[in-house]
Amino acid sequence: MNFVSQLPISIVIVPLTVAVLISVLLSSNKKAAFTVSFLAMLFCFVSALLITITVSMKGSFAYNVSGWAPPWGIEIVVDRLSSFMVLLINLVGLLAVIFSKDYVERKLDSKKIPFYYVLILLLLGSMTGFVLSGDIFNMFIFFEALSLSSYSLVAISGDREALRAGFKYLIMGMISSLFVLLGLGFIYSVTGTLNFNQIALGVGKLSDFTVIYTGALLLITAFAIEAALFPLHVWLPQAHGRAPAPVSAILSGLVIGVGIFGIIKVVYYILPVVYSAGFVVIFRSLASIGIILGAIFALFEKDLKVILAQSSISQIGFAALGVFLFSYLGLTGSILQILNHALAKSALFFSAGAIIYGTGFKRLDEMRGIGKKMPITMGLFAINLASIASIPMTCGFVSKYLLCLGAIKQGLWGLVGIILLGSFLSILYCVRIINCIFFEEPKFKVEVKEAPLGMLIPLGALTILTVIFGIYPKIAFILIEPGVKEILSFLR
Amino acid sequence: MTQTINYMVLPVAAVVLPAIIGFAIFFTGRNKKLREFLSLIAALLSLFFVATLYFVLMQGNTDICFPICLGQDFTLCFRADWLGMFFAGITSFLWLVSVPYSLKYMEIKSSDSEGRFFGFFTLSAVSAIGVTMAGNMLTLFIFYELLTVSTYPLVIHTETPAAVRAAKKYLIYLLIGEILILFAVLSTPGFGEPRAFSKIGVMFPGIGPKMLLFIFFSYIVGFGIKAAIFPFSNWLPTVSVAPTPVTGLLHAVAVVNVGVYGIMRVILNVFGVELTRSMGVGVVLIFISSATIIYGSLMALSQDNLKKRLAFSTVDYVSYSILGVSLLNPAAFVGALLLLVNHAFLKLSLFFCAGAIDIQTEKTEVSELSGVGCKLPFVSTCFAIGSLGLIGVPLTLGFVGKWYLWRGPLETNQPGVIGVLIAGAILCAFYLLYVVYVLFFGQSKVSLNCDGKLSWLICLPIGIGVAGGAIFGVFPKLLLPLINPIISCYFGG
Repeated sequence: MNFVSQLPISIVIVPLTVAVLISVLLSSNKKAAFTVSFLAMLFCFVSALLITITVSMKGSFAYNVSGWAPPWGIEIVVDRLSSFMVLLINLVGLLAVIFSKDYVERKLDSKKIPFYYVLILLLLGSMTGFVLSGDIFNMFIFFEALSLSSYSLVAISGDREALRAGFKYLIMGMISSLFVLLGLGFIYSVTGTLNFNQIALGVGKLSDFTVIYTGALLLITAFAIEAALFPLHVWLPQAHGRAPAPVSAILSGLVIGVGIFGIIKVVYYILPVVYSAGFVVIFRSLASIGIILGAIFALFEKDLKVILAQSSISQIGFAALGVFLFSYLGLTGSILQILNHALAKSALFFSAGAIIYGTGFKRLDEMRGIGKKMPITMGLFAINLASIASIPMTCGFVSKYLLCLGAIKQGLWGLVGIILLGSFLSILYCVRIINCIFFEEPKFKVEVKEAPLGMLIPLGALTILTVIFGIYPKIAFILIEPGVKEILSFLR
Repeated sequence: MTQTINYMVLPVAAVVLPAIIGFAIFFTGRNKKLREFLSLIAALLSLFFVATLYFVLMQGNTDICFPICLGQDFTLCFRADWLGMFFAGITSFLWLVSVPYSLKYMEIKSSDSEGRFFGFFTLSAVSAIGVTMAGNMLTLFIFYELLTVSTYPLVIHTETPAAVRAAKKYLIYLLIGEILILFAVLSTPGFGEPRAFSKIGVMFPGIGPKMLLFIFFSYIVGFGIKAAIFPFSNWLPTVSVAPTPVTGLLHAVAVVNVGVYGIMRVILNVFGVELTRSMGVGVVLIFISSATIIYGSLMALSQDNLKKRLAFSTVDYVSYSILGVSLLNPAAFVGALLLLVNHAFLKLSLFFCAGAIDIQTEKTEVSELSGVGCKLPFVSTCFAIGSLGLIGVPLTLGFVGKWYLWRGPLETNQPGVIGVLIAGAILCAFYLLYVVYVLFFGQSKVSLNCDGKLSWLICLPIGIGVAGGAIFGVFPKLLLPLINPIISCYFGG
């Protein structure tokens, strides 16, 4: 226990430190940069695994950085939900680093490769920090670090489109950071603390809720930009579509999920009264519009990665909808959806990356019949598409099933319709991709080979998890359930 | 105790083991022998398990149930009861029959992705059996959706533009149905609990009559789309562009039967006969199925493409069974089940005949088939016998089934239904016998280039199908021990 209690801080510090070390010492040695970052992520993943096991057996614990207690010191809170998120982040992060090795070798300027790993480590480390923070101010700091590394990664290839996408992301991200800063100011001004647990205690004693509402809404809006909720999603298709494939996998699979996690924290810890609040309806309808619009856009896009990015908007809408259902089923469904999306969408971007790596094809119509040439890569791709399309026996079915059930139990028939329609549309856009890839005659002249092993392993690992969680979701329930109950107890 | 556990896992094994083999088939690549072996083994395995389960049921064990709890409101449940096993029996037997045919057929039609084809073929059949082994609505839904998903690559298999269009149409029709079913399933209390199927149906506490009707019709339309009821039947003729084994086994037997099975489960197990009667929805169902019978027959008459004609005939014929259920009368229900068996055996043979004719003469339109009867006597004779069986001339199962079905409206005094039955029989005779007439007596205008030699792998399944229909027609008593327990379970006595 003593050993494990030191892990939460090291899991944040190690990637950040290694990132700095790489940029200083290994800035010209791309092989060593990869090895070091791989080892760092391996350490983080193993630690995350240990933390999750400890938490699920012994309950949540807090770590006070350098021994200072919460109101003054920095508190790192490891509860069931955040340990689950940390595990997810470091799992997908590790796989993304493995995947990157072959990919960046071919697709990036070799001078940039060490810095690529620096940014990836910064991104992953700050995401972990964001999730583990016990107070809003540290959340803000990690949020800022997370955003900065994301912009740079989007634009890293340096071509015109990527720069433009990165810049758009930068503008939106800056607005979002300002909102966080503003929001936490409001909250501090009335509660006198920034620690989540103490805010949760303090809110009940307030006589006037106006200020705290304003603060919470600002925070929600800020995280909604990061989570790309409608109508704040405008930056996402370009950013996720133009970034290098492993980066898109992290951005789409993790970063927007972490945004939802931020929203969960704000909604359940800070908001004083949620049921009577009119804005719940607004958030529910915005999430619904996002689900439908994202899916419709995905139906008409031409670039495979942009299709996947549009689908992210739709899929993350489901997760947001679950948060705003304020029920056990809704929140469980929402977190399962984050899990499902992290696994499946990252795997999809990996496969898209494998195609780009092998052939350079980006548009769907160039890829006709590629499934016959790369059967293993594209077979795994198809399984992950099935998860996005919520076909039974994949993780995606379980999450949407819970959301739909939650909405039915609460009698929200409109939302039931939205969830069903959204899943229907998601099947349509997935079938469109499947048809193109598997059921057309190959027309391309390039010789196409199966993706290298370094790409197939991360892809396969994610696919296996998607199927395991789909066939036997009990594993996920065991991890999530106590966390959800813990969080729901804060609901007023 | 060990023995109890032994047969409890049978329903799971009947689904899981063939499914694993189905996945293995994807990886057979160029190894044709292995693929043929695995396809056959999967079908044999599932038939073996179904037969064993029947044996266990006959020993008097009625509660063969294997729940797998996956979470709150999320229990997968595998269960074998008489009604489910009846459908599982039909599907698994005819699956085995059609394996040699499909292996030969695909070899002749030489396609390059046979691993994909036979993998999904096996998985589709397994999903169809999984639906019948489901112990609660959630499990039923999951396999139901898997059936749709795994038949999709089979429909699109030839990759021609027509196949792509057909597959899209297929998917959209069936997905809309599935969304309705999912909605209805989630609104049904106790859908995800183990042992949710009971004789009397589930209770619907706190659900108003309007909502109840809405749920009921969500179910009926959802399953009805798969059973090709009017006006949702157009997908079935469209997908007849798929390779013949697919149209034969899946779309004439497995898929539509699963639709009918779903409707039966909804009426008998979810709502229960009593509640269905008191809701007064029987009339609506009778109207829909009658309309489908007439529509299917008329459309079949006007089709020149043989497979399309047979597909519309499926639309027509399956609705007899739905009619039989919705009359809520034990005799009519026996008729419904008998006609299902009859249709499954004979329509499979008829489709296989159409496929055999296509292989030999490359003719697909009825008007081009003149004189085929002399060149392919075996196939044409089987086609003729099969047609007579479907029309229901005496000494066939079709006759026995219709005889039972007629007793329903006679007992409940519904002359309109009798009218529909008469009209249906006449139309059926017209559209099938016309084909037989052309086959044997049509004036051959063009010379057919065929040597008349068909592999026994093609002929045997056709023969078995027709023989099955004939044997059960002469000895319908063979089927009654399987049907009687179902009747006594749901209708008492």
